[in-house]
Amino acid sequence: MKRFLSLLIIMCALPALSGCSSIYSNYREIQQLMVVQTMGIDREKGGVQVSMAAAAEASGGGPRRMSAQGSTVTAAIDRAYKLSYEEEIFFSHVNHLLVGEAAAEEGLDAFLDYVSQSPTMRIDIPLYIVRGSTANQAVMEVGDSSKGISEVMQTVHESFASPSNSRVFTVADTINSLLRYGSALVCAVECVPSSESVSPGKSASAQQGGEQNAQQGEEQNPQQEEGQNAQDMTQGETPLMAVPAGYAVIRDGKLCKFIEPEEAAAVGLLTGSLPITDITVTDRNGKDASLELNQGSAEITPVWGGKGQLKGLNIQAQVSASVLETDNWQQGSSNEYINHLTAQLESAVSQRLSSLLRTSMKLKADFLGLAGQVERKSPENYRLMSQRFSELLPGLELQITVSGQLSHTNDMKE
Amino acid sequence: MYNNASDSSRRFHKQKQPEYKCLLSSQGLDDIFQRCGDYETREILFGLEEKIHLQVCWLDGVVSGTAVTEDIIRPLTQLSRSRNVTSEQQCLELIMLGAAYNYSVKQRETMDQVVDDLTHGHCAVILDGIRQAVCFEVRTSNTRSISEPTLEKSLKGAKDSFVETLRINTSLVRRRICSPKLKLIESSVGRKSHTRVAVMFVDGVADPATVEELARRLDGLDVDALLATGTLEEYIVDAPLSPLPQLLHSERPDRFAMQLLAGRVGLLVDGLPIGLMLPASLADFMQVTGDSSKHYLVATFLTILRYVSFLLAIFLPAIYVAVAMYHQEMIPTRLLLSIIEAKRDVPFSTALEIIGMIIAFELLQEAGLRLPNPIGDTISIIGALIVGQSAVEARVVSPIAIIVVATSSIACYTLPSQDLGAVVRLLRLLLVVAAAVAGLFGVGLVLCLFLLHLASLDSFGVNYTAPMTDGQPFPLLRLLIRLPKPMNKYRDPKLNTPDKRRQK
Repeated sequence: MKRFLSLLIIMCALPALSGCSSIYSNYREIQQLMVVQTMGIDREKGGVQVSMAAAAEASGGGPRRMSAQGSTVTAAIDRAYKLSYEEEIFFSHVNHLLVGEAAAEEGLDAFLDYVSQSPTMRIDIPLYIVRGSTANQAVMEVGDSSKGISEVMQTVHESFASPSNSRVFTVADTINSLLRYGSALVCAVECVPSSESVSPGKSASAQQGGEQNAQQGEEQNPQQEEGQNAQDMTQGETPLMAVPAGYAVIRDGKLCKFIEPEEAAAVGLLTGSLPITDITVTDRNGKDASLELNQGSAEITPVWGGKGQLKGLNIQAQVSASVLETDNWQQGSSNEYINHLTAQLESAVSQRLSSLLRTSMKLKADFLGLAGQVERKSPENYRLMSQRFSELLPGLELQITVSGQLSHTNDMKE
Repeated sequence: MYNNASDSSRRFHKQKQPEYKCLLSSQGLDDIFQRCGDYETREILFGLEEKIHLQVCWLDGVVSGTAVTEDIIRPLTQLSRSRNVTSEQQCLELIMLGAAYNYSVKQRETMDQVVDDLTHGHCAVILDGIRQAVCFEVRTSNTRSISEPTLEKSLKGAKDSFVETLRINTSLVRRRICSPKLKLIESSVGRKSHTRVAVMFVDGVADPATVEELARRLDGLDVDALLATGTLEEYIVDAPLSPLPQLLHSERPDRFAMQLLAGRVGLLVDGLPIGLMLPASLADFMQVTGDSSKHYLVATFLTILRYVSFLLAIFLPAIYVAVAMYHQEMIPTRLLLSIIEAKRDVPFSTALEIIGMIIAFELLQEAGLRLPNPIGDTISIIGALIVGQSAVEARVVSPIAIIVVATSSIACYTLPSQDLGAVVRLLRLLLVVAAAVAGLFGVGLVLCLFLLHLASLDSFGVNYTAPMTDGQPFPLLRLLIRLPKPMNKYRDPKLNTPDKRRQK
């Protein structure tokens, strides 16, 4: 019994010795949480504006949105905590982090640092740059009374993560890429007007819901008046939707260029995750034919002039595709026809690879992680390189070889 | 091996022997059974001659009146029997050689023996002159007939179950193991109740050390009465303070026989329709006899399901309380949103909800058990459906709390052992409290203490956590996977059986 009691006392003392303070202060009732799912960050008047949106309530309360300003992200979030008196803002379930284009051009370092240091936020949150707009607009205005930015971004996320696209880049991926290669790729989204018209009743209720949120804050929190910067926002008149808009190239922590969605296939080939995507080529009769690119890989071989002297890159890509649509399906099984389409496919892929690599060279940004592949191929030579890989990029000779394989899966004769 | 051997000898004091010091006589018996309304005595003349007086004694109701009259009194009083008998010694010899018609006859010399026989359904013929007695077993046959087991239902197995009569129970086992290797050691336990206890084992299969240790512990047992299984269990187990069951129970003779053949030692108590088996480890409480009648794949699946249920029953409410109160980041987002929606407007904290629901569930169960069946069922329906539904609608509890407690309780009832189920219910309440105080850290703390306790337990020389902690991969695998019978050649190694193989 003495031994048992001794062990009990020792084990009870463990929490105090563990240094894990959360067990004393982490208590919170689950129903009092405002679970933020989407967070947006912008630069605003020399400070930072943080916007956040929780999921729409199942009972029909609509999505809850909120924004707050401060000199830093921490200050803005502290401000939001103070204003949210009824509920505790909970950041552990942030699933989408949006950064406005202007803020991204100024630099992402502080935002990335906040997420990586935050005890509540996960580092594997997908990161998006809002192309042509602010994150605040995306968070506050995208969606309608029943569906907020979180639900829309979930669709966007699935679209990016689907086989028809390349991949989603998280905060961790971005930090890792920036640290290793000095540049990174980040998914981009765009706010576009919704194609569906919104009935007046619907938009009125959306506005009413927003006003209710704002009123609630004003009535019950005296700080609301003095904090004009932080307010629950109402929805705009025209509902917006967020859609995938290619990729953003981040170099030295700053946004420097966008890559169009059409180039996603080339990104996928070079980063090792080829998306299933469609390519339109011209057949030998001068008509369009649609091909579905379904498999592919690219091997990058460095060309060395001497020890540590990188002269160029030899890129050998292999792709396979199937014919989806053609006007001349009766000739579809003829070798000449297939060979022509295969050549067109190889040419199209080669062009896209070349275009993407030229962008990388022009920007001196190794956002595709080519340095890593060169290092894996020739580690000794790589270590002897006198300059950084990104510095060498513009002067490298590129040799791109694409080998295509085409199958006509819908041969009508058979 | 038996680390508690010295403890058990300290725990008991030896029963005072002899209990009745007076010399064997009919007068002495009369004194002993004074004010016992069912004690009957009758003086008869051997061969109806005045030479020898015999005193016939019995306890009414315990013995069969017809047997006493027809098999004992009638032959002893027949004139032809008394020829050439001149002394009580000759009379005794004649009775022992068949002057009375009974299959069981015992010559007794002490008062303790006669009193014990009388209370166990014997009729005693006292020869006062030579201070001797002859006892005949004329027990009444008014016993409950063998019926189907009520707790351990059998689908494909035998349908008989133990009854309250020891001899019938031993015969049920003997019918299954028709071999002289099946040994039966009987003793009497209980200062006042003198309950017959039979230790059964298969010679050459059971570990002799276990048999010896059990006999020693029974011998050292000195209690007033042995009327319940729990009484015996608490006295003979290694750690009576532990809430965990340490003896296997069964009301089915086929399971009892199976365990004897596996190398365990069985214990049958007169008056109890339950057989006890030992040694037992935690894994043994997860086994069901019916599994041996099922296809090995089905049996394996059900065994794994039982272990999952065991974990669910213990941890589900505690983990729910911990993550809902402290670690919300661990819950998947969509589930978290559902829980928040379900808990909105509920005035109580998650811990109070769960503890309240568990207590309500236990109350319902107790109410259902204490009441007659039809009323018990009604109580369950009212409790589960009406009160539960109303509580959710009135936002007193959240539906998720009901789902968690109900799932845990259902999982608890899938456990084959009711005793283990009771411990699990107790433990889950403790874990919920720990989770409410310190989240997963508290759960971990209680779990560590529980594992510590588990690891410290032994059952008759077998580690309670065996084979999980034996470091042997095969027995551990066999815990979850039931091999096809032709491949299952060896007995459980933890039982230390002299005969290791069960088949060629």
